Parts: sequence; C-alpha cells; structure tokens
Amino acid sequence: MRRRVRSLRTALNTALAWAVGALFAFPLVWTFFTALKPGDEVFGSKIQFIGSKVLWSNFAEAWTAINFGRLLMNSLAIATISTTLTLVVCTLTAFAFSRMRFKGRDAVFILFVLTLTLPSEIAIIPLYLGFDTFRLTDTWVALIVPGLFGAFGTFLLRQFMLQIPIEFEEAARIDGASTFRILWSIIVPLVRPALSVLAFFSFLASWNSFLWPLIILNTASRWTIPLGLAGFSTMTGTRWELLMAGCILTIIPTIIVVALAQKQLVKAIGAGAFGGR
Amino acid sequence: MITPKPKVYGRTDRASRQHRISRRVRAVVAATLSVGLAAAALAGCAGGASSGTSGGASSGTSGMNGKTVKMFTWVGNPDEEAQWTAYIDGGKLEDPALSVEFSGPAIGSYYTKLPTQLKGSDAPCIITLQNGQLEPYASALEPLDSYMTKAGIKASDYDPSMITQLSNGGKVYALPYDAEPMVLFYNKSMFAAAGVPAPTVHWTTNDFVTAAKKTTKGNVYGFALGQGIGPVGNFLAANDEEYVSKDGKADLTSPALQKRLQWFINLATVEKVSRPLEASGGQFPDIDQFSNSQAAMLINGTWDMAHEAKAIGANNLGVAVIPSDNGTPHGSIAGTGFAMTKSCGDKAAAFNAISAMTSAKSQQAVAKSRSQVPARADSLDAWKSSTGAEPAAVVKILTENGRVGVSATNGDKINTLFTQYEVNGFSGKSTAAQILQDVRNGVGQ
Amino acid sequence: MTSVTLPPSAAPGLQGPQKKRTKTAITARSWQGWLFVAPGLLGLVLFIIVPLVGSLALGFFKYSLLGGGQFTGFDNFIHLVHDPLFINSVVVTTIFVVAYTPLNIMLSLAMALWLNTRLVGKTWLRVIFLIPALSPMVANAAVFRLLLQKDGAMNGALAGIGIGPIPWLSNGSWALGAIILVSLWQSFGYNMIVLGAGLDSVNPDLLAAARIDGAGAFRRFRSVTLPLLSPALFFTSVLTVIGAWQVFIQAYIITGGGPGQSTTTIMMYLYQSGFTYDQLGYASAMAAILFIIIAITTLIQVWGQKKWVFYD
Repeated sequence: MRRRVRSLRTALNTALAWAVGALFAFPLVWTFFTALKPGDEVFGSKIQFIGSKVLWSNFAEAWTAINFGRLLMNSLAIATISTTLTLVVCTLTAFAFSRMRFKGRDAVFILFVLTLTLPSEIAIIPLYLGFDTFRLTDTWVALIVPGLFGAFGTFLLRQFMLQIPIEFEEAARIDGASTFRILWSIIVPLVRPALSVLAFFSFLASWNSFLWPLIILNTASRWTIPLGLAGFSTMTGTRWELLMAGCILTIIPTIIVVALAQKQLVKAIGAGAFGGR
Repeated sequence: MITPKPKVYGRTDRASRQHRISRRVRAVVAATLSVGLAAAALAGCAGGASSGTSGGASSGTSGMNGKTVKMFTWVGNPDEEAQWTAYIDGGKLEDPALSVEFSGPAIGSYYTKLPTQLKGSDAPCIITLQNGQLEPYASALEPLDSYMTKAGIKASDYDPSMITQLSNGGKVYALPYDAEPMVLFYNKSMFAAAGVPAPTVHWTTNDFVTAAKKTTKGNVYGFALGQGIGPVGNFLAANDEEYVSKDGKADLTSPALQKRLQWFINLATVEKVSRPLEASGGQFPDIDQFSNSQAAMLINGTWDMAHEAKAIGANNLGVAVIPSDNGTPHGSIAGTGFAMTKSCGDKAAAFNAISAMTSAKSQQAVAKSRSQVPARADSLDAWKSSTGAEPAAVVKILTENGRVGVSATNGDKINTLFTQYEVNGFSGKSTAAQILQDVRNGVGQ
Repeated sequence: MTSVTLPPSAAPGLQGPQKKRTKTAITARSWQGWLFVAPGLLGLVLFIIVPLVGSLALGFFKYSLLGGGQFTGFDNFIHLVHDPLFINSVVVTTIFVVAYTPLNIMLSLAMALWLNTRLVGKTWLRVIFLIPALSPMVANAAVFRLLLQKDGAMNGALAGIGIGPIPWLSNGSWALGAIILVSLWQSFGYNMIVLGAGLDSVNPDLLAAARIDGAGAFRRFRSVTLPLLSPALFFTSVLTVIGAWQVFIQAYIITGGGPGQSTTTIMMYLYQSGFTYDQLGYASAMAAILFIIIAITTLIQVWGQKKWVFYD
C-alpha cells in the first residue's frame, strides 16, 4: 500500500514538474514552430502553432541567408581556441597562487579578486583603441585574447588546487620531480572536474558573446553566430521567420552537448562553485 | 589517519581514475575538440590569410589593397552585397580596369563603427553616406570639387537636393548614386477589394484617411506606422512644413510638429487605421507589416521598391505621393553617396572609382537591374523604362517639388528619445505636447 | 568525483582573506612563482586593468570618436548627478536588481529542491531549464521581442486562461516587468544547477537524524539544508547581483529603453551616450559610477556573509 501511494505521489510530482517544464519551454517551442511559418503569418493574435504551410525550407534559407555554415565554423573555432588557451593560462596562474610562495603573492591575488567584480563592458572603448594602435582590429587575435584573462577561472582552479593534500607533492618532491612536472602529472589530473567546468563556461561565454565581437569585427566572413543573427534586421525590415530559424540552429549544438554531458557537468559545477564541499 | 600515498606519476594512476569519467562524455568532448581544432586550423588559415591581406595594407597604400580600392559600407546580408556588386559592375562599364572591394557591418551598426574605422590605421578609401549624415564626418573626408573639375564632372549632372545634402560648407564631399523620394506604397489588391480608387498625384490627407479606413479589416491595417521622428517628419515635409532650421537647429516646440504628431498618433488611437506603436529595439515594424501584407499602405523611400515588389508581387505594388492637406505634393529626397577619406593613399584611384560608379553608364545599368532611382537626370529614363508609368509620374512630380531635408545637429539623441517617448502617446499616457516636452527635457532644451 | 580523500583541514571556501589556512610549502624560489603567474598577470594587467583604468580616466575628458578629446575635469560627473536621464537609469536599474535577484534565487532554489525529489526524467527537465542559459541572449531577446507584442503569442496564451491582453511593450511598468521576466527565464537555469549541486552534497545522514529527532520538513529545511546550502546561496547571489546591475541586451533588443525611459538601464544609457550620441567621456564617467555601485553592493554582501553563511 505504501508503495502504491508512493508511486502515485511520484507520478503526480512528475506530471506537475513536467507541466512547469512545458510552460517554461513554451517560448522555445513557439520559436521552433514560428521558424516553420511563411513570413506573413508570423504576426497574428491567434496562437497557431502550425501555419498554412510548413516550410522546412526556412531553415535552409536561414542557413544561406546569413551564411550560417561559415558562422558556425567561426564560432566553433574561436570558442575552442579561447577555451584551450584559457585553461592553460588559468592553470598556470592558479597553480602559482595555490602552491607557490613568492614575494607579493597575496597582493597580486587580491588584485585578481578585485577584478572579479568589475563589469567588463566598460573597458571596451580603450581596448578597441588599443588594438587599433597595433592595427589588430577585425582580427581574431583581438577577439580572443582579452577574454582569456578573467579572474574567474583562476579563482575556481585555485579553490580546487587548495584542496589537494600537500603530501602528494611532498612525495613527488622527494622523488625529484620538477615544479612543472608536479603541475602536469599530479595537480592537473586531480582538478579535472574543475577544468571541465571551466572549459564548459569558457566555451559558453565565447559562443554567446556579442558586444565585443560586434565592436571588434567588421568583415562578415569573420563573424560569430550572434553577430550573424543581427544580420536578419536590415534596412528592408526583418525576416522574423528566418531569424527564428536561425535562433533554433544556434541553440541545437548547445542542447546536444548539454544533454550528453549533463550529469558530469552538474557534479562538476557543484564541486567547484562554492568550494570546500 | 594515514592517507595512503598513491603513486603520483606514471600512467597506472591516471588510468585508474579515468574509468570514472564516463566514456560518453569523453567521446563527446573529444569529438567537439577535434572538430573545433580542425575548424580552427581551416578557419585560422582563412582568417589569418585575410587578416594578412588587410593587415598587410600597412606596407601598401592606406585604404588600398594593391590596386584595389577599399570601401567600407553596410553589408549585412547577400542582398546588400548584391547592391554594391551592381554598382561596381556598373562602374566597370565606364572603366573596365575598375577594382573595388567592400566590407562592413550590418546597417544597424554602420554609423557606430564608422568613426573608429575612419580614425583607424587601416581606414578605407571610400565610405558610403546617406543623405544628412555627412556633417559629423566631414572633417575626415576629402572635398571632391577639385577632382570633379579635373575630370570634367559637373555637380549639376546630379540631383541638386542630393548634392546639397552631401555637401558641407559649400564643398561637395560625396557623389550620390541615388536620389530617392519618399513615396507611399500601397497594396493594389487590398485597394481593389475595398473599392478604393488608385491615388492620384494630387490626393489629399482626407483621401488618405478614407482609403485607410476602408482597407482596415480584421488583422490588416490601412497604414503602417514607422518608429521615430522621421515618419512624422514625412508628413511635415509633404505639407512643406519644417521643424529643423537651415542651420540644423531642431525646434521641438514647433506647432506644426505637434499637430502632425498628434494626427499621427490619432491614426492608431482614434481613426484606428494603424497598429499602435510599442516599445521596440530599433527594427522597422512598418516595413515588416507592409511586406507581410498586414498593412495596405507604407511610406518609405523608393529604394525599398524592389524588395516590396518581391514581397507582395510586382503587379500588386502601387506607388503614390505622400498625401498633403491641400493636394499639392512636396517630395523629400533621400539617397546615398560615395565619399573619399582624407587618409586615402591613392586619391586619384579612389575618385576614379567614385566617378565610375556614379557615371551615367553605371547609373543606367543599375537603374534597370535594381530599380533604384538614379541620382543623375540623364539616367532617369532608364529607370522609368524598368518600373512603369505610375511610379515614374510620382517620382517626377516629387523630384520637381523636392526639398532638402536638413538633419538636426543632435538628431540622434532627439530621435532616440522621441522613439522612446512616442509609445506613451499610443498607450494614451501622453499627448503630443507632453511627448515633445519629454524629449526636450531629455535633450536639455 | 576524485579519488582523493580530503583531510579535514582542507580548503577554505569562497571567502576572502579571513581564513588563510592554505598550505603552500612547495616552492622556495620566488622567481618560479613569478614565472608561472606571469602570463595570467600580464594578461590581466594589459587587457583588463589598463583598459578599465583608461575607461575611468576617460571620464575626466570630453571625448568624441570623431573629434578627439579635451580635458574637462569633473564636469562629466557633475553633469551626471544633475542629468534626469541618468538618475532615472539608476532608479530603473535599482528596481531591476531589487526585484530580479530575490526572484531569481527563490525560483532557482524552489526548482532545485523540487528536482531533488522523486521524479521521472530529472535529467531532461534540467536540460530544458538550462537551454535558455546556454543560448546567446541576443537570440532569446529576439524571441521575446516577438512574443511580447500586444497581439503576440504571449497574450494569446494568456487569453486562453482568461487574462486580458497585457501591454507588455506599451506600458512602462509592464515593460520593466517584461525585462525581469526575460532575464529570469534566461538565467535561472544556471543558478538552479548550482544550488542543486549544493543540495546533492548535503549529507543525508544529517537530514535523517533531524527527522528522527522529530523535525518536520520545513524545520529540516530551515535548520539543516539552508545553512549547509548557504555557501552556494552566497555564491549565486553575489554573481546574480553583479550581473543584474549590468543588464543591457534585453533592454537594447526588446524595448530600446522605452516606453519613455522606463527600461533605460544604466548600461543602456551608457551605450546610447557612448555609441549613439558619441559622448565617450560622459559614458566613461557613467561606467566609473556603475563600477563604484557594483563594488559597494558586492562588499556589503561579502561582509554580510559572516552573519549568515555557514562554513564548517
């Protein structure tokens, strides 16, 4: 009897939760269906999910209209490079803060912490002018490099590294390992969850970033996906059905990755986000 | 408690931990990484190569790519690309050796990025400027008068209002490639279905409101309202009224402006022939409505004609003058020109490109293929032949009674604030007077 | 998830300099430390600190992208304090922060708790809630831009349950509400995951012990779960507040700052001043003030953590 009550409660609970989920997903579902409508049926008060025609061709048209293939390659490449370099820089720096003693270490660390609270958008103008002085505007170098040095990654990794018992490294020292060897062979494997969290968020930040790419990139062939989405609004109006199709195309890769890596991600975020547990 | 000391390096230890991480995740990550790195390699080569060519201009002439002239303009999508290609191809009819390349952001960010482009080390040789946008950038541009004289090109070859709008301090800074009057587009089948006769070139504001009322049914409105102060300005211009003085000072207390603004708002709230405007992030709701057949009439420049013809059907697209109170139409001309930057390293080549793209041969070719009203009087016939009698008559009378629209010096701020505050008029919160007062407060007048 | 057993003396949490029990006995030579920290530090200085200082310095100038700059001292700041548009933007942003942050945290916590109960398909539900957080804000804003029209799908859906058409984009208060709504929709998924992970790590034995002692569900939550969750709550609330002060894209794409000035946030006005009106010095002065505001609220939260955040 108790088991039946229990499964009834579970069923109700599930149904209710999924109802909330459906409500939450309504804008996304609606976006998907709008992407399939003919252009002149996008506006209208009746919620019609299916229009008079189902135009799967809108996806193809959106793809070519903004050269989505190119944008996808660009975004993917930029995000991957960004993530890899961020991991390298943050690992080195976090290792120094957590495991090394050097004069002024604490002062420099406080500097890092302070920058955590700063809004990055306000630095855009001097950053642009700086890159312009070196003739590096409209390049991927200018796009990627400023994003590599946010203090968040260093902070996160340091948290994790601090949790590693000193005994491991002492043993390695006794065995004669160099500092770099210690980092590479001991520390890095042990902070893998943090690295994957950092990788995930770096990738995401790069994938979604809009303002800096908007300012630094001119040539359409170098654009990232968010910039391309803006290309649907022109002087001759906006093709909303294509814009919606473009949004769906943008979301799909992230859905796939998250769906596959979700459990590990959740565990890893929890372990790193607030430290100590 | 003694923590056992694991073997700290060597593959065995790592291997024993790896099984904990799901193989699936590793596969996904590996796949993403390899695709990403491959893409990086490919795109990096392409990106590196192209940044090489543009960055490499540092060793060549500023604004030039070898013998090719570089142009900065708005390129948001293939349609805009096609437009510039058409002008370059047209220029080649005049000068077969012409070589121009173009790049740039979507129109929405063009003017935002223009100043940094002009100041930048790799400034282009040619930029495009719409009418009334010249003044802030004139200091970075090279006056064209001496080049024109040398080449035997007369300003009078071009539409006078456009030349005036592309001049500053008596000097010409850009040569226009189009001179498009603001016109009223209407949906012929909607008019026919409502029993509304086609507008004549002398139709009045009353005729217009009547037509709008008859064509408003269900979800479809008679007239599509545009955002910002421009659309209201169109009605002022049609009645030969002005709220900006010749030296660029906007008079926001102008009774004419207030009257037209209230009338504009009433179209939605009282006459109910238009969809009320809501807060919006700078799109063009009026163009969207008309091209999606949700409105019977739209006011826009003739540059939009090709797009609207494609959207609602070339046979369905009607062109009329903007209605005036007394039936005497006045046109307000808008267009774009090519300007040359002061920093251009090869000004002769740049001017050659500009004059080629705005030459008679080029204008005629583009007029035929893209139905944009050319800026040269000698090319108007080519345009007329491709678009038909009704638009031709409209354009003729509007161009004859055309006027220069002067842009206010702080026009951007006025327009932004106006766009934000006019929504209150449609929701009934503010009258036209209050809206203008709010704008004045925001601008600090 | 790692095979490392943690000695009880291990790591402090996210707190500041107060508990320095780090054991760093490794490297004796100072130069090695500097070597490792060099790339990160150099990058931080070059690409974050210098531009920020530059940006703050620009606040003392009148600077136009076309016309260069001239030193104006405190003029920009004085003007800002008297500028009704700026004061309004501060009010608007404050309202946003004060309304959005607690709503965000409560929603995330509620959903995290709910997803911790017996449910089928938790994984997929989590994915659904995460999707908006993972897509570019530009895309989300464009979607809501369409949805929130007076005759759009949102009002259409509401009409289905008998609620009259809401003037999302034509009434100032509703417009700000719309911005809050979109922001919540976009970002509560991430906080939900963080809090969910925090919940996962609450030792079930403690809860079981409390239940044996007779504590009801609510009492268990208040006295066991909540304190153990407080580091996670602290983390999410600090980040949420910082992000909330910088709200921009939603206003930029959905409402353009209108109706009137009801959704012109500080960053929106900053962007307009800097990039539309070409008053970069003025915009930089705004940036300086925004920075101070954010720093103050963050400091308040960090000091406050002593009172309510529980680290064991």
